[in-house]
Amino acid sequence: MKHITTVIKPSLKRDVDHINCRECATSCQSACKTSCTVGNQTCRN
Amino acid sequence: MIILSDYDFPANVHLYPFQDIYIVLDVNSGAVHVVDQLAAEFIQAFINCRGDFYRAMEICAARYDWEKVMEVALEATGLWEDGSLFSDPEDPVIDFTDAPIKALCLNVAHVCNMKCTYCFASQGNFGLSPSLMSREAGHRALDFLVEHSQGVKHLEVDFFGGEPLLNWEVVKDIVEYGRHIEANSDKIFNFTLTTNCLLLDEEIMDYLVKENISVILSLDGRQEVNDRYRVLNNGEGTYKTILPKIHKMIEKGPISYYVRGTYTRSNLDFCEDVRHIVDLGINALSLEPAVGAGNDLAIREEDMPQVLKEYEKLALLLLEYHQQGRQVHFFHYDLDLQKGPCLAKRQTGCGACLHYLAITPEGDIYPCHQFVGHSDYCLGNILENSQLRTGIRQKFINNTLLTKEECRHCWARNFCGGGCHANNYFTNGDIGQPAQVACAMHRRRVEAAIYLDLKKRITP
Repeated sequence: MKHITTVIKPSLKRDVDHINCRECATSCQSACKTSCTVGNQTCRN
Repeated sequence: MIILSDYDFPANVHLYPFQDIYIVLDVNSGAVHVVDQLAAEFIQAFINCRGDFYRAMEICAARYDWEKVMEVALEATGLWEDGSLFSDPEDPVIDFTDAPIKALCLNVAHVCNMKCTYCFASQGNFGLSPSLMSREAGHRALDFLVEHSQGVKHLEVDFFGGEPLLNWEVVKDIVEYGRHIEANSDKIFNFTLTTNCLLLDEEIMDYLVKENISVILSLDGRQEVNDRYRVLNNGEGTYKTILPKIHKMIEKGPISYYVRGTYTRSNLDFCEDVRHIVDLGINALSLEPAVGAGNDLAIREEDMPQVLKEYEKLALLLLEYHQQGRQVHFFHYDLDLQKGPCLAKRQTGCGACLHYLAITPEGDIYPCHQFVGHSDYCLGNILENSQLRTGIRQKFINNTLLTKEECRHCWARNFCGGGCHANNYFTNGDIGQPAQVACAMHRRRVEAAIYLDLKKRITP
């Protein structure tokens, strides 16, 4: 019997080919303006 | 068997119950697991015993069959071996010194036709003289952005204020200038307009749609909530005036929209405002806590028990909509767990002063819209000189997740990026010192958003 179900596999991009392309949206620029979130931004790369 | 030495458990793994499930977030890999009661107890025991694997098994064996405990121990070991549980922090060290500027908040009007009690911009002028941005300053702002954008293709400009529609002709002119730049370069401008909606008319709406300008439309929720603080200069509420305009704007199909509200100490039951907005047929919204130094309406520590419960309730409400087949996007709960931002983005958070600056009507440059009017943080003036005061900018560049001791030990760090510099500054007088109330809110939102995402994935 499985006791642990992985729903989201490892996903954080850390390899140099995929980080810091800087084409993503700036988080506070959208519907926020007063309380920061970056986890809801999508990577364009 | 899992072997860890000097592992910072609170920073690297987060186990929490939420409603009907136990959730484990492996902070460094981004993996998320749903676990049963036994697995939750085993992982908690392993954390409590600071990585003593056999001791954790013994603790669980006192309550469960040894065979079952072995099953859990083997599963956990397999996940550790493949890097999705108790993974190590291996954050790349990135030098952001020469980071490009790629977003501007253009305060085209330091005046407002409303007098909202909680406004962090001091009713539109940020405590400065009322003023409107000139065409020349607007053009210069775009040139400045292009000059500092290096190889970045997608540039963002938000028309902000005050109320930007009070300077509509200049807004249009700046958009046209942006289109001219696009035609002669490889740059693409993504424009956004944040408005209180009072001056929205057919002509403006059609232009916003035609030019693919995203819109942020202000509404706080229920009429009595909205009209308590979102008032005209004569004190009259605005709900009835703006609602038809908001509906019309959305009907016209802008490239993207959000209805954005503010909640205060007066409506800690803000889920009812979310419900109200959704009942109005609006599917993309954001409700943000009131902020600001000396703002009597801003959320305080004593409000937190109710605020945290409300964020949990909100996850259930959004799940209910999902189960009804209705797609409702609440800004903070739209986490992209599978394809979120890279670690560089997560290290730098909101990007204020690094990738993002605010420009006043007079051309003064600030780290972000919330710092406008705080002269110690003025980085220069686009009309006088293109150079930025490097000392101030360097202070922000040096202020990343990796440099904030408190953030480095927080499990939610990769979702907030170190919090809002302005919140930190106005709360603690230091952009590097996290504001505890904001942090607690953020952690709860992340927990709730992960729960919501998981429930959408694992239930029909």
